[in-house]
Amino acid sequence: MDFSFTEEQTLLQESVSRFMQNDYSFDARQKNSQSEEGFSTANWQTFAELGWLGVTFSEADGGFGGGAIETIVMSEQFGHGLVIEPFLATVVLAGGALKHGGSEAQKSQYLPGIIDGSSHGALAFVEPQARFNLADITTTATADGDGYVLNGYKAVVLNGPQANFLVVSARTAGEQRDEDGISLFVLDAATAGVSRRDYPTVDAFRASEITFENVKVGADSLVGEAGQGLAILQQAIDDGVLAVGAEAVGCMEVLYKDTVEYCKQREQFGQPIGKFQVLQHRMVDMFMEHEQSKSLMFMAAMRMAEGYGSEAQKAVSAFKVQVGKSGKFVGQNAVQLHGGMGMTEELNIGHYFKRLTIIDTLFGNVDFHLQRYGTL
Amino acid sequence: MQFQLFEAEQAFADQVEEFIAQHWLDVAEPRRRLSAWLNAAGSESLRQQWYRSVVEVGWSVPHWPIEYGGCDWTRKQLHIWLSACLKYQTPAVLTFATAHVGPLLIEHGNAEQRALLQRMATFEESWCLGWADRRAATDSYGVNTRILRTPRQISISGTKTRVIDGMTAAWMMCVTGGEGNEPNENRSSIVLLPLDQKGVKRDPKAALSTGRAMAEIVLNNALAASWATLDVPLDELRRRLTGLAANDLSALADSAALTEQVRQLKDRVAADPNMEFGLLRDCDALAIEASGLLGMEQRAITQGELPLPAVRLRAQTLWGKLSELQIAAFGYYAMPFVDSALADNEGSVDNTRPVGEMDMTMVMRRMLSPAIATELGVDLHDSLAQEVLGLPVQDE
Repeated sequence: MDFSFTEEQTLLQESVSRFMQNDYSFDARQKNSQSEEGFSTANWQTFAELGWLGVTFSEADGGFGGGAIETIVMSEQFGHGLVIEPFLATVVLAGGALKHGGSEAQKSQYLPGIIDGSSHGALAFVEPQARFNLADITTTATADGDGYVLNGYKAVVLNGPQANFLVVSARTAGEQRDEDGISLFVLDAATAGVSRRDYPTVDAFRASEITFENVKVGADSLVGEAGQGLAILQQAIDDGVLAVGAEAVGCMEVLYKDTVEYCKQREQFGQPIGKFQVLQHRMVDMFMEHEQSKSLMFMAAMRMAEGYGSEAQKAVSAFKVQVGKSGKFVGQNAVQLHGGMGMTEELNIGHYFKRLTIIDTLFGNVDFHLQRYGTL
Repeated sequence: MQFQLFEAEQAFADQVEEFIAQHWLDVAEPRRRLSAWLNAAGSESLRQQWYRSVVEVGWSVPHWPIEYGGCDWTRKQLHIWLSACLKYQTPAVLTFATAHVGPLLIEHGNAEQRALLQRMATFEESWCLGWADRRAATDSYGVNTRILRTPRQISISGTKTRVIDGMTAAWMMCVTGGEGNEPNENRSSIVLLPLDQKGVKRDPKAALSTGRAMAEIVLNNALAASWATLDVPLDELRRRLTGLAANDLSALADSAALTEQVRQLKDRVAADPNMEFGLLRDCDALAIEASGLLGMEQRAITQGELPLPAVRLRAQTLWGKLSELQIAAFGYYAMPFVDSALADNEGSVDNTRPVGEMDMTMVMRRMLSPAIATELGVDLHDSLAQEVLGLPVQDE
């Protein structure tokens, strides 16, 4: 087992870290979250210019040939900054689905736009009744001549408002919860019959409810083989779990370190509150939760980097379970130890906690992944 | 980054597995091995047989320098060896002598003291720690065992209480106060004291668990050689004994054993149709945490980016959780205080349990077994708060 980064990975880490420290202030983040786009388009272009949007794509597709390790390297730093730019939705999820299952033509059409920052994507896979079951799909794709007609409804589509293209899961055969018969389609977000209702999320991102009403797509929209889309979808989602988990690790690091610093400064009864043993122990427990999560992050990334299979899936679920539990603990205690300040909008603490809370829900919460871990 | 062991590491791991299979797993049935692992009466010959094999292969003190019998191993090799010993529940390779006394003597001892190393490395002489005095705390001011130095020897008088392994040890690392009447931290000494002598009287001290023997040891002008004072500050000794020394990797090998025991527990829980479903999920949750502990161990030994006390603290926590789950899994059979591994004539009370599996008494014994950190009143939280997080020292 080897936990060391390559020179390129270290440089990437330093590059993202430097940007987060110098050019990604919390105040600017808050302001950008209120903009029409919900993030900074200038930052997004900078991400592209620095090569971050192409890191995880193969060199043949115009990227840098990175993978799971590079995903955690960047995402952990994004967690430090509480980044709201849609890296997860565009690069990891939508881009990931095309990376894993797209045809050469589809990759040529969509990936360059992702990599140069000119295009945004979204993966529409959630349905209201499905909870975290990726196979519970009522949206249908009915064969129609050379193509398909999509009908259905997708919920909480991350980055839906900004997406130029959508990757959509739909049922081409089988019953509502069958694992076979699921297909993925990539289509222009402005295709006739696609309608959206946009909204902000609790953690300052943007999402949409999307209705597909007799949406006609060509056969070339099909991602992978008809009826075999679940495996592609699952892999993209597991990439997503790894990314948000690493982001959570970054969030937790900020929370425990800021809390320690605050408790060194804040005085009560004539002494820093960080001198009180009960608070010290609580901060140590926060530190421990972060370290435990970080260790499982490395384990999951290494498993994913070695090849996607049941061991990798198991490691990813283990990581997500830990992140869910640890994130809640670290977030709650950071707020608690900051006292009333921790509950205000002006302080970053509560915003990190909100993001951690949402990350627990994203792609399956603790209970879901614990169940999945036990069955793999 | 790479999850799998490198080729050379895998070859070493295979060699270790083969050695343990040949010299431990294949030499006795599970029940006898468990007895020996627990240091139970009647298991001495099996323990000695194991130790002889370890000494013969040269792996008894791999963490010591080569000139004192150590191996030229990487930190990963050490981790592989110690992990396997814990996983297969061999008699402890890391004893108080090999884990603590030996490294101290190597680093701080004089020539006469270092001469004691050889019999530690061969497991011929065991050691104990004499710190707490009767009716005294374990802080430095509380030590009231007195010493009297003459040019030829040191005379020690006092009563050491709650001495782990004190009934069987050949030597004691004895913490003493000064020569005057008043306790004085600055005059504390650490003396290497042979216990098989006239001035030493040992009485068993009942422990909550029936495991490792504790002793109350009365020292009445017990004699140590003039060279027997170890030149180590008491605070440094405390740091080392509680696992805070920066180079102490000796106990960072729990994850493999935890993972194996969780797996066994889960198999048993899963096979029982009346077992609560939540327990199965708790087993999975603990398996995940054990996996995280493996990551922490690896980061601590290979990258050095994680402080050792953090790994120890995590391991302690997870062993506690495992014990809780095991107790839960026993159901009504959590109640009998009968040691099936030792009840050779009648066997286990719970006859549904396979021979050689841990029983409730063993679990309780492990939970209650005194640890040095507990004995010295040290909480790793305090160390981590101050040394890793940089928080201020609490008021006395």
